Amino acid sequence: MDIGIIFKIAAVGILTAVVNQILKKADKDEIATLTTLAGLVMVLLMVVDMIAQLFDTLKILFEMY
Amino acid sequence: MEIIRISAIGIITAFCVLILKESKSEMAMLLGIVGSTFIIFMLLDYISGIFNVIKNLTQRVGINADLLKLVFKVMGIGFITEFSADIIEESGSKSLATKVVIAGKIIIFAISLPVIISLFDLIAELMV
Repeated sequence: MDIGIIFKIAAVGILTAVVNQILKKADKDEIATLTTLAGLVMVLLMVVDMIAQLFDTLKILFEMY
Repeated sequence: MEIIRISAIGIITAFCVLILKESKSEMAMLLGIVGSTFIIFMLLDYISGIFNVIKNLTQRVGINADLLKLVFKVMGIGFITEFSADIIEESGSKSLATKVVIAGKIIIFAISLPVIISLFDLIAELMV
């Protein structure tokens, strides 16, 4: 849980956008869609994990007594 | 100083969200979620400290423990509702955000009904 995760997600996002553009110019649209999807799934996994952790902690904090 | 770190993280995250918004807006939304979650994580120690002090105070004064638990629960529901409704609205689905807010209000009301009923009972007893 350090601040690097924000930069990681930003880097994945920029990388995905760049690769998308390159593959579109090279006329390989399907691979472009696949890489975009892969990047999205990767980031989504990271985010869902963090949100689950947050809501678990909030549940304990606000309702345990 | 924790506040400096938190505001720095907020500004940097906002900048990264701006970078990603025009090319990959879905990634920008996820990055915003991660940033806000991260800031909340940094606040959890302070929040638990405050809640412990409030718990000790109410124990000393003699307020019913269940009542305080209900108040904390309502605060938690309110906070989670506002957190998610803000994220949903920022990603463009304002109608969904309103539905989440309505759900939060109804659930808070449903949870506080026993207290309201016992208040009415008390008033009825006093009037007899």
